[in-house]
Amino acid sequence: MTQEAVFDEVARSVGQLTRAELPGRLARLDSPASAEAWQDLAPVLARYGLDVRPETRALLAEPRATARILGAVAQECAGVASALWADYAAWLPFLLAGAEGVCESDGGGCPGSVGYMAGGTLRLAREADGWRLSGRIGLAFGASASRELTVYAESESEGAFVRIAMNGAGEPEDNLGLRACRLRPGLEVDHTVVGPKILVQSLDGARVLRRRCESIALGWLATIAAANGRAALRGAQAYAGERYQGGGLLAQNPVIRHLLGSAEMRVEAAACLAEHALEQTESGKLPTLAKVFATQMGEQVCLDAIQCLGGYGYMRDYGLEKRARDAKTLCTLAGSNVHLLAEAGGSAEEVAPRG
Amino acid sequence: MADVYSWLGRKMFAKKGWRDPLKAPRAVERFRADLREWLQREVAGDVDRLDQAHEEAHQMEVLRKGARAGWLTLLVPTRYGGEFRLMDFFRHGLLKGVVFTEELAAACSGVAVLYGAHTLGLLPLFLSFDPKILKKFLPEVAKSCRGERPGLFAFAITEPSAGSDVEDPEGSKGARLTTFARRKDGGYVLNGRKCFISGGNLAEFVTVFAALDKARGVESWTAFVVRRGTPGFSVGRIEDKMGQRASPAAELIFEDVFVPDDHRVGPEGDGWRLNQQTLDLSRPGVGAIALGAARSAFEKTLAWARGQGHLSDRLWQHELGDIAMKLEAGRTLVWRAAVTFPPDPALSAMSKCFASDVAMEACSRLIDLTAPFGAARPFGLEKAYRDVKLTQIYEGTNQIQRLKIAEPWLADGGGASA
Repeated sequence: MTQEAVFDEVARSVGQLTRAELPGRLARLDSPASAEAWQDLAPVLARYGLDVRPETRALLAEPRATARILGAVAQECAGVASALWADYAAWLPFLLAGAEGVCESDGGGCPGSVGYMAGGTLRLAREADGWRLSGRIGLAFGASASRELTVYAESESEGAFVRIAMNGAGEPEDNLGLRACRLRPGLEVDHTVVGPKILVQSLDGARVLRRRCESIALGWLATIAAANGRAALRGAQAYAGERYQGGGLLAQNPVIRHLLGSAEMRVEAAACLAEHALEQTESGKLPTLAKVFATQMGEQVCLDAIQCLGGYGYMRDYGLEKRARDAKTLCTLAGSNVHLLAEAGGSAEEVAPRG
Repeated sequence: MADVYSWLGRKMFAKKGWRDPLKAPRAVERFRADLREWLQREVAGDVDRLDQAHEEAHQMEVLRKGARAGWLTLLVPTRYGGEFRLMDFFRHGLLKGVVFTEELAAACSGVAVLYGAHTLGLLPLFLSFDPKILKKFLPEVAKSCRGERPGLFAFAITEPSAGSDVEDPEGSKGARLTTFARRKDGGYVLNGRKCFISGGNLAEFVTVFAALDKARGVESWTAFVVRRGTPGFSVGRIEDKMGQRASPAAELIFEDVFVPDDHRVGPEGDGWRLNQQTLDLSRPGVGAIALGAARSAFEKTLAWARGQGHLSDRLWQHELGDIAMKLEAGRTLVWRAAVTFPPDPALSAMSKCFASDVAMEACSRLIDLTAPFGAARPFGLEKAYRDVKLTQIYEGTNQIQRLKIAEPWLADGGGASA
């Protein structure tokens, strides 16, 4: 099967998945019982081709194709899309290095089985019977049922991507949003890695690979944020087209029209920048700017969508409050927006124009 | 130099009786200190449970504690057994009220609304300037607050198809009202539904607004007090809200509910005035709720940043400085609105709109600053974020508030300057 054929099949599957499987599961995925809900959902996601199986690995290594999948899932549930994001981002270094075979975990690529560690570097040391990893991971993020984590470690001359078990991580925290996923605080690492769960490269090579992986992950997050915002906007537009206020349809009210127009402008700008960033994954700066911009715009659009519905927007039944909570939580992933902007502002790298 | 400044302050300003308009009088500050101590003792430990579960008995327990402390009778004159003294009002306006609300919201904004909705329900009675109705209900409220079930009031204006319409003079002309009252011997018969009524399911008395004439809409609006347990009056669904979950939002159903004449608040057709003046008085309080929740989030962030050693970082200093500046500007506006009497509708709208907007911005930025920990429940910022969002919506969305600010210019033919 060609890569295009695989992509078409997965794209069709995602459409069917979001229509048929996700809507009935959203409430449980957005609750403290999300780990059980995820256990139920994971085989369904795998059935729809969203696991990291041999046929889809080449596809996942193509950032824009994966972005379309994540965006389509985020239109229904940003939490599920973010869990897949963490999973794919954790696989990415192995996929890009063509070394995925060395890291088959017990889950065998089951969706959401691997979590993502943002930032931070562990210490790496060669030992007689393997590699020693030590240090502290500040925080891991992944599906509420994920069992493993990809971490990055460096010695003086080498860098390594390593798959480790989540055992020992703190109890998962309940988040503001993206509750299909969990943040896991502090994990002390001090053990020897033996066997195939490690990808070691020269220090320069590993750093280039890491930067590329982080850029792609940021671009994917930007895509999820824009898709979540777009879905909130569609909800507000539909409401405004049906609701009477002040003797006319809400959609005829110039204040609401301005609000919706402004939201649409923000969503489209965020989506464009995300797409542009995924064309330039060698750059560290543009994906950073795209992530910050898209998550900020996504949050604002969701909050404005709630305003459009007034009291109804604040109630769980209408789904927009979940979109807003998800949007705010997206701002906090893979580095805080405040610090990412300060980092980008201090970088001398020039962003290439589009086209 | 610092000594010269403080000497000047003492000699030239304090001795002349000059008072900093932005500083609460000593009596209000004492009240704040007592309230903080009470909140720490009686409410702080309950906040998580109130946020996570809808337990009517638990909400009632919080109300009972507040009633015994006198918080539910702050507006009830002493002659009826409450705490309200006219002289205090002349001295401080509503300043004590907004300080009270900010402190409650800093502990839990849901609890602030739980108590605040009661005040909102009582205000139309005062604004009717009808001593008979005050005498009829206020002694009962005061007495019940010393008992097992406080006689809580609720304020019912919002209807399923008329939310912003009943808060916006322009929109109200086309409002699709569904709650009506018709005359019957010795009183009125009410039919219809109200929705999103804060504390509606807990209240002993509900101040309900109903139209007498479909064609005249809100122009015929009239306010009535409906007692809990009146035949035909029932509570429908309790909403599952994003935040402020300690305060239930209830649907109220009226099916041929008979209300006697002496339960009517003000004359027939006076409902729109009562509604507008009530909201003019209460909007600074909504701003105070927003500021209280955001202040609490700010204080938590500051303590965490200090513990982590972030305060020496210039970026942290800049962000926290900017947020503090905006919250202080919001408080200034809320206080100015609170000491303006009679209330200036545009100023009230500004205070609610600006304070809730800056508070929302503050919560959002504090979560960004502390990311990713700030989005986790135990940190406490996510609750403030969820809670503050509602202050941009109720008592008229902030879009409606901006139109309200522009209203005086329309009255002047659109040509007057601000």
